[in-house]
Parts: sequence; C-alpha cells; structure tokens
Amino acid sequence: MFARFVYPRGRMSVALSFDGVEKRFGETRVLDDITFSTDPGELVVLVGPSGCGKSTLMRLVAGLETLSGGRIRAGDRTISDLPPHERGVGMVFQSYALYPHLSVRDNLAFPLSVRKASKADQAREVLRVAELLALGPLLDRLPKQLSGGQRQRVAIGRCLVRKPDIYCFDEPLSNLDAALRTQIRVDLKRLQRELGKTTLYVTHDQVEAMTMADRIVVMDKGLVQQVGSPESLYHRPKNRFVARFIGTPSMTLAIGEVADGTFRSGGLAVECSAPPGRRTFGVRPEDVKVHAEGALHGTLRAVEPIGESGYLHLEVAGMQLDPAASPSGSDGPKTPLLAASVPGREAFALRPGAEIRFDIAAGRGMFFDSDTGLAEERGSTRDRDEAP
Amino acid sequence: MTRGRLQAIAVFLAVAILLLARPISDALAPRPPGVRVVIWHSQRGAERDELESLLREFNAAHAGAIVVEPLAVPDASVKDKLLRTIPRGAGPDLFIRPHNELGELLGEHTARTLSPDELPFSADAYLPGLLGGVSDGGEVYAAPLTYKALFVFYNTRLLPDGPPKDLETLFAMRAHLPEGTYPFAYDATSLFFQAPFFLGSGGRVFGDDGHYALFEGDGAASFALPGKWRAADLIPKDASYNEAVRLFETEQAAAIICGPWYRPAGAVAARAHWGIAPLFAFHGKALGSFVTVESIFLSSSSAHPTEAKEVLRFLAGSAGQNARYRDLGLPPIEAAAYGDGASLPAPKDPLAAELARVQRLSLEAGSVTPSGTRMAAVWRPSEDVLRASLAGRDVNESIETARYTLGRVESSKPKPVGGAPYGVGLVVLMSLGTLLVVRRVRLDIASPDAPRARLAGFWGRAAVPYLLPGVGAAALLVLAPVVAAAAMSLFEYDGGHFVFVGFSNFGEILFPPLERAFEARSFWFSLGVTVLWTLVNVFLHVALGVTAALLIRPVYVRWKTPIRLLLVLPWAIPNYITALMWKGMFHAQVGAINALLAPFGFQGYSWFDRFGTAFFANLVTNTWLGFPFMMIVTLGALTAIPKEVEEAAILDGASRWQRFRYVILPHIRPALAPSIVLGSVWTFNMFNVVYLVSGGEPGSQTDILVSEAYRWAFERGQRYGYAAAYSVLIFGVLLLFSLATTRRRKSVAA
Repeated sequence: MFARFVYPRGRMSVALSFDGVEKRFGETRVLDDITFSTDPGELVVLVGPSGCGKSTLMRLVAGLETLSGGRIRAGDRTISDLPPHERGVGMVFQSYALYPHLSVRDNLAFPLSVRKASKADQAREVLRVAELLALGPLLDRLPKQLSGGQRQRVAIGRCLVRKPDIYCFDEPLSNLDAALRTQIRVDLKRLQRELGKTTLYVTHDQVEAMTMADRIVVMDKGLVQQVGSPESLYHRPKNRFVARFIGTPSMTLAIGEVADGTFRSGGLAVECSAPPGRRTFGVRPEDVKVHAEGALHGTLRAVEPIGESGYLHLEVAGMQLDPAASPSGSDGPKTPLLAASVPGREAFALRPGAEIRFDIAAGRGMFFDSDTGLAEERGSTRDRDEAP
Repeated sequence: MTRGRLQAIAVFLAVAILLLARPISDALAPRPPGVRVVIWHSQRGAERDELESLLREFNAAHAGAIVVEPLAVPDASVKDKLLRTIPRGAGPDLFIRPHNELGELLGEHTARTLSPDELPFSADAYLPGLLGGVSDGGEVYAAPLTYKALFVFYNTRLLPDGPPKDLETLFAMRAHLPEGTYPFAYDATSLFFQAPFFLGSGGRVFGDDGHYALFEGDGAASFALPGKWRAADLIPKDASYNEAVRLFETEQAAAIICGPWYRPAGAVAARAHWGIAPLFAFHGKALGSFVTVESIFLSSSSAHPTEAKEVLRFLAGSAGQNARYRDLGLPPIEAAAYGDGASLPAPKDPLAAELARVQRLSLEAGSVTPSGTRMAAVWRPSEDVLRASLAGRDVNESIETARYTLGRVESSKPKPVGGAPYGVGLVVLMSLGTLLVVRRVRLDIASPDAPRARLAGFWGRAAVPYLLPGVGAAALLVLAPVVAAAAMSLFEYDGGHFVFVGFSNFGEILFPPLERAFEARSFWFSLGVTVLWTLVNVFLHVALGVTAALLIRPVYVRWKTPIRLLLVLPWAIPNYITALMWKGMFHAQVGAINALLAPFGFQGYSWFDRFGTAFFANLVTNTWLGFPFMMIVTLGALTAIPKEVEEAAILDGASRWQRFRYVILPHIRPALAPSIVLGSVWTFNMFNVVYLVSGGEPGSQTDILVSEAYRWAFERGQRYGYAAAYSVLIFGVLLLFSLATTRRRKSVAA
C-alpha cells in the first residue's frame, strides 16, 4: 500500500521530553506529573484503558490543550509555550478530520495554501505525498467518496506535507476493520521507520502497542505506570497494573500467603524465596505447563482454541485472585480462574470439566506487594528502557 | 363515574347553557315592552353619558311604546360594521356618525332619505351649510346634531389684548415676543389644519364637475405658505400637531389653531394664560375651516322607521341641542340659537358660549368637509406637498407629482371588457393544468421509489383522513384567498360593485407612462426599492447573525437558557409593536436616536425627510428583528461541526478567517441556505416595518410592493382590483425566486 521512498534526511529528528506535565480540568486532575523522555526517531506508544489520559497527553503535545503545569520539549525547544501551528507537530486524528468540502488534492495542499506557499510548491508537495501513499488516482475525489483506509492515507498525507518534527497518531486503527488493521499496522511501522521522526502513537489496544512500539508508555488514571521497551514491560512489569495490562491473555494474579518457602493460594502452591507474609503471585499462561505428571491440578472451566495455540482457564480449588488487579467496572469472574497456554492441537481435544494437571515453570512468575501492587525485586540487568 | 360519562355530561351542560342563556336572562331582567329601537354610536366619556341620559329621558316619556337601546361601538370599526350589516338587513335602526362618511355610507345604500318634515327644524332654521354636509343630490340623509370647527387658542400673557385680527399683524409682532417664542404654530403637514389658508386663498377641493381642483389656481399657491413661513422662522421647525400643542402649553407659541376637543394643559393651563378667538383674517379675508357635522342617520334596514324617526327628532331637535349645549358646551345647530333673543339654557362650562361663537364664525367663512370616497384620496398627496414645502423643496414639483397621483386615482377606470376570451382562456389553462398534474402523478406512481407515493393500498387509505384536515385548511386558508385575489385582479371596483376589466390592471401597472415609470408610486420603482430592501436586509441579517453566533458560540453551551430567553423576547413582542417603538426612537424631536447622537449634531434631525435616511431607519428596525433568526440557525449548525476538523485546521496553521472560510462556512451553508430563502421572502413582504416606521416617507419612496398594494386598496380610492393585480405580481416575482433557488439547490446537491 505504501510505496518505498527515501525521505530526504535534511533535518534531524528530535527527542520529545515531558517534564512534570500536569493537566487539570477544573478540579479534576487528568494528568499528574508526567515525566519521561523519548529517544529521537522513536515510535512511542501511549497505551492504557479509557480515560487514562493518553489522548489528553497527545493533545497537549499538539497544542490543542494547554498545560496546567510542567513543560514539553522537542529537542531544545520548549514547545509547550508555542501556538499549535508553530510547534512542528503533525497529527492524524482518530476520525481523520478531513475537510469534507475539499478534494483530496486540496486537503493535502491545505497546510501549504494556508501558509501562502506558491501554487508550484503546493503542487509539487501534493504529488510527492500522493506518490508516497498511493493516492494518485484519488486526488480529485471528495472525502465522502473514499473508503476508510483511503481516508486515513489522506490524513497521513496531510500530515506529511507539513514535514513536522513530531508525528502524533490518535488511535489511527480503531475505525478500520480487523483485516485492514493488521495490514496497516505493518505499513505504518515501516513508514515511521523510513520517516525517522519521533512519533507519538495513542492506542488502547496493547497488541498494537506491543507490535509497533519502540517504547511503550503505559498510563492509568493520569499517571505513567511504566515506560519501557515491549520486552521489558512484558518480562519486568513494575506493578500489577502493567503486568495485567500487557500480554494476552492477562497474567493471572493470585493472592495468598508465603510460608516456609512456599506460596500458597488455595490449591496453587509455588516454591519461592520470597519473605513470608501476604503476597500476590503473578504467572503468565505460557509459564503454566500442562502435563499429566503435574503436581498441581485444576478443573477446566473454559477452553479457547486460537489455532496455533489454545488458552485453558482452570479453576484451582481455593485459589483467590488479587481483587485490586481486576479491571475496574467489571463484575469479575464468579470463580477465580488460572490461565494456561497449550499447543493448539491439545486445546481442540479438551472439554470443560476435565481435570488438568500442571506445574508452574521453574523460575518463572513474579511477586507483587499485595498492598502497593509494586513488583518485588526482580532481575539485575540494566535495561536501556528504564525510565530515567 | 367513567370518563366517557363525564364528558357527555360536560357537553350536555355546555349546550344547555348556550341554549338557555337568553331565555334565563330575559326572565331575570325582562325587557320592557314597546318597540325596540337600536342606536349605534361611538361616543365616550361625558358625551356618552349625555347621550344615555337623553335616551333615558326619551324612554321614560315613551314608556311602553318605544324603548331605545344605545350600543357603543369602537370608533375604528363602526363604519365597517355598518357597511356590512345594513345591506344585509341587519344592523341598527339609527346610527351617529360624522357627516364626511356619507359618501361611503351612501355607496352601500345604508341610510334613508329624510323628508323636510321629518327633520326637527325646518331647512332654513339650520345654520347655513350644515344641511349641505348631510345631503347628496338634493336629498337629506341625516339630521345634524352638532358640529366642530377650528379656531384659535392664544396665550393671554403674550397677547394681552387678544390676538390681532389678521395673521400678518401677528407675524409682525414677532419682534415684541420673547426670544425663542413663535408667534404662531399649527399642524402644517395636514390639509385639515391648512384648510383655513387654503380655503381663504380661494382654493377648492373639487371643481364644478367634481374633478380634483385642489392643486389649481389660488389654492395651489396656498401650499407654499408653510414653506415661506418656516423659512422666515415664523412657525416652528417641526410643524406637527403634537409640537404645536407642546409649544403652546410651554408658552413658547403665542397662538395655535386647534379644535374644540382640545383643552390646554401644562404650564399655560396652570397659570390660566389662555383664551380662544375666531380664526384670523388673511389677506383681508376672514378664514374658516373644514367643519365636521356630527349627525344621526336613519338606517335603511330599520324595521321600525316611524319609531326611529321619533327618536331622531328628539335627539336632533331642541331638547337634544339644548341638553348638549348645557352639559357639554357643544355648539347648537339652530341659527336662532345664536341670536340675542336666544333661549338657550345656561351652560355648565363658562366657555361654551364663546366656543359656539368662534366655531360658528369658522363655519361661516369655511365649509363642511367634502364627503365622498374621492375625498379620502386627497389627504396623502396634500400632505406630501405640504411636507415638501416645509422641507424647503420645490413646491411646484411636488404639486406636479401630487396632481399626477390624484390623476391616477380618478383616471377613467378601465372599461369593462368582454369576458368571453378570458373565459375560454381560463378553461384551456385549467384543462392543461389538470392534464399536467395527472401526468405528473402517474409518472410518480410508476417511478421506482413510488410505493411511498401511492395513495392506494392499506397504508395509503389510512393516511387520507390524517391528510384531509391539513389539506383542507391549506386549501381554505391559503389556496382560496390566492384564487380569489387572482380573480379580483381581473376586475375593478367601481362605486360598490365589481366590473370585469380583463388584464387592464396589469397593463396599467406594468406599462405606465414612461416619464413616471421610475418615480415613487410606480410599480417599477417600488420593485427596485423592494429588491434593494430585500438584498440589503438579508445580507445584514446573515452577516450579523453569523457573527453573533460565532461570538456566542464558546459560551452557548453553558448559557443556553439565558440566551434563548433573551432571544425569545424580541420574537414574542409582535413586530407591529417593535416597529412603532423604533419609529418613536427615530422621532426627530424626542427620539432616543437623536438624543444619543446629539453630540454629533443630530439634534432635531428628521430621519424621514430623505429616502436614504428613511430607508436606513427601516433597515435598522428590520435587521434588529431579523438577525436573531439567522443567529439561532447558525448556532445550531455550528454545534454540529465535528470538533476534530476544526482542530486539524488549527494545527495546519489556518488563521481564524481561514478556519471560518474553509471549515465553518461549508458546514453552516446547508443550514443557512433555506433560511436565507425564507428570510428573503419574509423581508420582501415585510409590510409592518415599512408601513409603520417610515410610513413610506418621503412621498412613498420607501414603500415596498406590499405597502404600495395596501395603499392602492385603502388609501387611493378603493382600487381593489388594482391592488389585487399588485398582489398577483408580487406572488409571481416570489414564485420565480423560489423556483430559481430550488433549481440551484438541486443542482448543487447533485
């Protein structure tokens, strides 16, 4: 869909940094002390549940909202002091926001015509972008005559025309159907690589985040939960929220007691070296090994064969889930279930009600403080993605 | 008790009350026996009390034989009511009206002639001239009751020896009067008050053969007098009735001309510095005024003419005359009452004798106001000429225009035309029309999305009863009047009945003599003014409305309710009232506009003297009325604009104006387009504002087509057919306009 091209590398990409950014609407604090920075040219994904403030943060970068506190810098410039059109920020809206009464050509040319660029310059830029995004045959159509995917390309094109330093994508894939989504994910990633500019990408879908991001910023309730590479978020989540948010299906968080070197939550028992006391234990489905000689057992309540693999949801007697980790607003499963991952072939053969034996893979799983939700000491390798 | 039963009882009670009300009230207050004579009048206050006490006296004297029942009818509507009821055999037995309505009343044959012995006094016992006012073609149609004439009120402090006998002396006395005091003031814009000078110069309204003679000979020259006096600063700048009265009451005018209805108030009354005197002499000649004779008529539909004549003789005879003189100070009609041996009772009002004297003198030197429908057309043109004179414009030119206007009024009415060719044409047109409609309906029914259009089938039939009331109402209230007006445009109204004249009316309207075609009161001129009026107004409405909407937009969501309240107020006030309010604000002397602009030299500026400023006054009023509509429409459309598109424009660096032009405007255009069409049609026909604010001033230049049509029907000699033709033309113009805009919208939407 996108043609290959060589982006003129005349301008350096800049790092985007947030210093203590705060946003209040009246009394409500929507963003609280957001502090992190990106490397130049990265694709940074802001991810989190609805209402976490990720869209607001992006709008602050674009200049559509004003900060209540803190600073946003792009490279050396403090862009939070500048009006929107002087920040060098380009934005692709969730609904594409094309000018409905202008043709594609005029839509693409709009940012330039507004700055009184010459007709020749406008035409040249429009053609360049149209070629890049394969919009050539569509140039004289009106937005209402385009499909969703085509409109998105026009929106991206309009952004490209301005040659901004920072790109913002606001949930660009939400309005597309599933098949298109996968395809465009790939194309967007490739485009970003070739553009080489710092890109801010907002989504609520953690799969998109994992597949596209160079760096992920997980947000919840206006706070940054963790910043890091997909791998570090997956393997070394800093708290319960991140642990459950990243990864499908979610990590199972069971709450129980550690005594005599063993963590117990009902029928779930794991040897560990954690100090005694009440703790939350989290284990990913792929670390729950199902085999006939497993020491632990549970009853199969639900099976989800995906194709290549399958997810089993096991009821382990007496096991309790950490209530703080349940997604807010949901009733929660009536019975606490442990998620396990098996090869697809096996999943097809299983029926609910079956007795399943399993083990927790050695050295896997992690502990969280039941009160604060923070991950307990894990790993010592330094990661380039640790937040400064 | 079930609801159905309750309803039935309620209906029964209502019907019972309606049916039994009369018999019950009759039983409770039984009508006295005797022949019932109904008399209609429109008197109020002391006059009404007087009439009723006289009638009570009569009833007492005729108990059991005749019972007179007076009915007070509002003055503005009584003439119409008479004209509608009496020809149909209903209405009163007697009615009291001023004599100058005789012409119209006779036109519908509403009054009966009175033979000389049916009058209370013999013909030569009346003051000379009075009977002439109530006669037509030698027959007397009413009995005079009293009369009103103009005379002089003067300030006794400024003129301690009374006013001089002639006007020239009064003007010469100006030097002796205090600074800023006018020797004389009167309503110089009205022929009625100008009449003394007009008549005194030898002017006549009608010539011997009944043609309009008021702009001929010496009478014409008298129209220039106000201008001359104004130029010499002998009469005040604002020569209107209210101003004259105000100046007199604040002792800034030594003498004014007014009538017996007026009693001075204010300072001059408080210090008792006023007196009355007969009208001046002018050029050595005694002046008189137009005289109004209050008269009692015998209705032609009366079932009891004998009894009614009894009442008439009583009211119009000595008994009535003396009572009116004694209690109200109204001048008697019997010549003998003015002699030295008069046997009049002593009046309650000490001024009564003097009032009678000065009015009699005025009657002697003047004449009764000419009656007749053709008189009605005289007032506007003469007002135009007088205003032109006062404003310093060329009197002769305005006389020419006035003469032309009057000429059009009395121009030989279109000759009756044979109806046959029109009848044939009508049949052909209707057949064609029916064929076209049928063909169209057939096509629609056969077309692909026809199922909805069909009136057949279950849903179709079920729809019919729901449609009927609406369609019926539309047909009755909209279609029928349109057809009637269109039909009337082919006729002309001539003295009481309609005469078929074919397309002559249209010919006259569309093809006037070339030199007059582009002057005021011509169709093409009015069309131009109306188009200009519509264009400027709609432009301003939209511009102001959209601007206001954009300004209010940020706070609209929060302040929606107060904003709507503020807007409902101007809409809730009838725009008739608003127009009058604005007219008051533009008043030259006491208007708010001039008061606010006084520092810029607008003191006493007359807005309605020139086309530009009068048009501007109308424009301001109509814009004030009209822009809220556009504003509300725009606000609604603005809330529908997706926020993200505007944000994209902000990010792209568009300025406010560019955002408006490329994002906001395209979004509100679909909402504005129909509003503009609606607004244009409403403005094109905005009668209220134009008629009430500028009144068409100056000289009908600011009149738009609708107000012109109105004037032709009601102010210029009852040219109903002509006015109907105007309406048809207006309809045609607007029809073309809507067709054009519909076509354009369809092509844009495609």
